[in-house]
Amino acid sequence: MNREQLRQALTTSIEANDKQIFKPYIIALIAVGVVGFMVGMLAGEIQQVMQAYLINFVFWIGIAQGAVILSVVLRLTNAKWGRPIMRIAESASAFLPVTILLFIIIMLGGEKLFIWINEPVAHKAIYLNAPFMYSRVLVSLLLMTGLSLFYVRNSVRNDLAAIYHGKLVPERFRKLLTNYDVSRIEKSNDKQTTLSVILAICYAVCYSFLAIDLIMSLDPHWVSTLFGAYYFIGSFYIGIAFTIIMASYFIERPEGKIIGSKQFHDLGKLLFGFAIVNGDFFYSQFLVIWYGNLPEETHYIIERTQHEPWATMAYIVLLLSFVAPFIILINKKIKMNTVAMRWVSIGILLGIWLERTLLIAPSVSGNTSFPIVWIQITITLGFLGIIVTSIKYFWSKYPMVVYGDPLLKHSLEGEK
Amino acid sequence: MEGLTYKQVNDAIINTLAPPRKFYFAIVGFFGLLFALGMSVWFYMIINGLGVAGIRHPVMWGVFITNFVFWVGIAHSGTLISAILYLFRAEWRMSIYRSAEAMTVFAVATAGMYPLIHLGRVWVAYWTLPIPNEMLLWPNFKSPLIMDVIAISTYLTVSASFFLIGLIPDIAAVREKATGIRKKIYTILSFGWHGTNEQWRHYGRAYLFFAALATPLVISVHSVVSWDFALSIVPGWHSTIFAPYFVAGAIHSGLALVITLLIPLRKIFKVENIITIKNFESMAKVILLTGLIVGYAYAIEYFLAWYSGNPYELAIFKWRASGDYAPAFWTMVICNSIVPLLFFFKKFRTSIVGLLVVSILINVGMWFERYVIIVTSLAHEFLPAAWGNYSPTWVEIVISLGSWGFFLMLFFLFAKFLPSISITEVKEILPTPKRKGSNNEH
Repeated sequence: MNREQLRQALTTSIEANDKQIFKPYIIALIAVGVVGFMVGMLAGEIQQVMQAYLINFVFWIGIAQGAVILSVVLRLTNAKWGRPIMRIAESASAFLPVTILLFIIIMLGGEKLFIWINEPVAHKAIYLNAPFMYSRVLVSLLLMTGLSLFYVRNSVRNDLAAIYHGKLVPERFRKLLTNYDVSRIEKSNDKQTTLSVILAICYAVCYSFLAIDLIMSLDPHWVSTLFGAYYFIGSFYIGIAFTIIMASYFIERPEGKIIGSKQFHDLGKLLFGFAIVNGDFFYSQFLVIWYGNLPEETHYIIERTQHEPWATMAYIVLLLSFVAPFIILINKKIKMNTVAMRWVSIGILLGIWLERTLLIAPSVSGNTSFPIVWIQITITLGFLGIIVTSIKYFWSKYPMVVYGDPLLKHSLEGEK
Repeated sequence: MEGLTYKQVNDAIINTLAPPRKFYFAIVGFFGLLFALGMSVWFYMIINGLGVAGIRHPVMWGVFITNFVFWVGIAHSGTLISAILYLFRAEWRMSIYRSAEAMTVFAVATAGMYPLIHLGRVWVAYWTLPIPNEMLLWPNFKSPLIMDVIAISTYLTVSASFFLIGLIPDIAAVREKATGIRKKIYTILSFGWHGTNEQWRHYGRAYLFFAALATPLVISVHSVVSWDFALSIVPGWHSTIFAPYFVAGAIHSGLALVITLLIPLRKIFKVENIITIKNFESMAKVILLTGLIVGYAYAIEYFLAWYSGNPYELAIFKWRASGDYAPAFWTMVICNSIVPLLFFFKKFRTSIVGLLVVSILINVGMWFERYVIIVTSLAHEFLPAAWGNYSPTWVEIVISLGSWGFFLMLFFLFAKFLPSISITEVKEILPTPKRKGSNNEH
């Protein structure tokens, strides 16, 4: 694909401006979620519903933010190979504003989840109390959403300026492109790099505290210093997996030809690397706690790895999130095959979803009762519906390749 | 590096091996003497017993173990640059990786001396090895210290082989110009290299596999070192973040030392156009990242020590920042996580003086980090009645200086006997020369 062909394909896609985002299957997904939520509540399973909701909340915000951070990392490392997939990763940012609304439900039902709301822990009450915790989480979500959207907006503006350079700008982009043209791209890119550094640092800090507040504090007496990093690295890992899934659908679009098996090969290597890092971060915590053998730490692990039903689930998590990807992704042919990569990524998402369940459920609803399966599934489908809607919205509105990026030339024919 | 040709690179690098001036012998001699002095003090310690060192109950791990962890940490940058950055296809590694690798090998060797020195009765060091014997001694395999012996010796083996394999094509290039006994040695070390297509093909594959296998190894080695501490239940040591945090800290100090050593090296050898300021800038960026990771670990440990509600944990963290070792603690925080923030500014990343000052400060800071972690936690364990402070004696200080002599002596010998910049890889990133008569001749 050369520059002119790409520009043609992009303008065609943008101007089609597909209004029909709510396809029947998406409406069905969201409806299933809402109905599941309502029926669960009416049936009196409030705690189960809230638990499923929290699991999905921490899972999906991690995916969306992790994908945006993938774009940030590609920018910071000047990765030439990754330019074509940057916008796909950025498109997950459309889900972030929704997460702030979704968090309201956690605030409403929080006392069913966080034991310390009704039974404060003596010396921690100053930190672990509902108003302070909710405001911390809201500040984190608002900050990360704001920064991410600003980052994506700047990036999109550069591409629109490059695409419509010397051409008539469509009505809906006029406001964005007022007093803006290609001559300002270079300066904007410098600013984007600075913004990327800020985003990456804020991600590490905010998501560490989200992990402590929303997951670790469910068991307020348990502590692991790596836990925050474990959550944000895991989220980055599924962010990569999710970007691969998106890319495997993206290649069907006219501008999708910009992504070849080479990009999938590199994404596959990155996914392989983070499968190992994620596994390493798990093991670093597990080994230290196992060896130290302090009761206030081991109870958390014993509950989850030696008591059924969690023990079986723990092995499934290990298999899906580490062992299977590790073995499968060594193979070069699989990494270059789009369909295979889609399924490997789905497997990883499932593994990490179960892992979030394993972290949350035993703390919330005790270590013997298994989560009610239909509530888990319906609410998960509802969340899936919402994220797919927001991404489809983004895809129909904005250019899906970073056309204005100077490093994109390495992926275009006839340029170097 | 633009504008260089293959021939210029070849000549510039081979010229670094030209017969040295007197000044060089003076430097090598000085470091050799320093090393000899360290060794003599070690013999003094062997004769008089470990009592001449400062280690007393309860602080039984002092400067020797601090030095051990410090040198193992230094060793990490070499493999990072040669293996991890190779996998990431980062071109800026090419002119610096050889010296970083050499540093790795020498640093592991230096580190390896310290457990031996610390043993006291070094002649029975073999008792720690898993050899069945008539004394019915059998090392405790569950002990992280045994894991450490295995990890470090594997690391030394792999990094040395990686280093030697990477050298093969370059040594062959040097062999062509050498004469006499040197030619014979280079001939042996080049393993019959003739640069045929077949040899290059095998070499490329071997290098890739080595890089892929060395990467998890380098991460596991410093993880294991961190577990020497984290697997115990001593407050301030028992922390799950230790493994990733030690790995980041190791890279932090290792890269800083690469910068400290390469700045004079490129000046002496006049290879400023090969090891460029851009290389240093990229290293400074990585240092910025590792500095942030280390800072994150300091902060989160403090926060969770408070959050845990564990009085012992909280007490040790308070004491570190305000007790007898507070100066060491604040040196560590300022040098490791605050000073590197200067690298946010391009001015510091591209100024030789800035780079040199920051990199030296980081090394000071990283040494104190290990000192603070090791000494403070042992000095104040659970029982206040058993508390006690530690400070090193002259014996420990001289032995430490001796190890710097050993390391720097080896590094200077390396710089004169082996090509300290990779000839082949630097050529890879130059534009391919055109035949004479083609349109744009180089």
